[in-house]
Amino acid sequence: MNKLNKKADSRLLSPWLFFVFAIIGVSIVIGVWIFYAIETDIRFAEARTLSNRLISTISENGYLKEGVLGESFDILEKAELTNKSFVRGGNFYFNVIVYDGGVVDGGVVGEEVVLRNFWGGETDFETQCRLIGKPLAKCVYDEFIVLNKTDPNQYFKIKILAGSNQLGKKI
Amino acid sequence: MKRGWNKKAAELLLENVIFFILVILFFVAMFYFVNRASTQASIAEQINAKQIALVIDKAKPGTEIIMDVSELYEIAKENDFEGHLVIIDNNNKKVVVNLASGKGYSYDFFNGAGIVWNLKDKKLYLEVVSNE
Repeated sequence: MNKLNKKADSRLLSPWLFFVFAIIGVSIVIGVWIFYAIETDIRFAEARTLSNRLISTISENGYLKEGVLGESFDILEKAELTNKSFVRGGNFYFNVIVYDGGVVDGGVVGEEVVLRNFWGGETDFETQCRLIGKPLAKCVYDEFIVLNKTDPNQYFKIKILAGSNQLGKKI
Repeated sequence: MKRGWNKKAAELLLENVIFFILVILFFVAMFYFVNRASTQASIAEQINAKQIALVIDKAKPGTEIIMDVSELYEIAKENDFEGHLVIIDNNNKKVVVNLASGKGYSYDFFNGAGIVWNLKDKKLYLEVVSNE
């Protein structure tokens, strides 16, 4: 009786063994496939880089750079950003708003008056940035205060939105 | 009686040998698969194209960068590819990395400055030049 059971066990071993092998093999294949199928997503890093470029273009050592409020100030040129990337339907977007913050020690904080508004790229990112989802743009918001170089008592509030939705492509 | 015992022992040995061969074959196959997947050209193309584009975007005019791209040469060698591994297209503002024939990965950069580049000694030399 014992002998018979042992034979039955060994006969059953082979199919079970292959079944277990198959499960392990398929699990490894699926795991590796999932791991490498994930796209390396650098959209957030790109948005951060773009924002940093814009910050250093309009401000320096806590002061607003000269000429920023002038009508002839071309932010794309000053930040060395290519015009080709910042078009409607493109993969990038930025919006820089310079507000008049008022006077520091006078205690007078007026309404947020927009002094300059720079933008470029796909404006739909303004909406996409407020939503969550893989196909939507990744964005970075920055808000800070800078002083007026000629009048340190006056300050400006700056809001920056920078976004990227570039996923790259295989040729 | 002695013959019978020998036959049983031989069968047992054979079963075990086959079992071990199957186990070894299975693990060799799995190792080969994982190893091959991790050195796939398409993944390296994507990662390196994005890395180079991000480096260019972060760089300011006057910056010089040297990147070690020896890994790209190894993967290209495995794929018997001898074409241009990295192309930086200043007109279209694109980085193209190609490690296998007929394929490649393209990624745009937004830095408007000119990029002077050179592939030499398994290193990528980049220089960001102002357009002004």
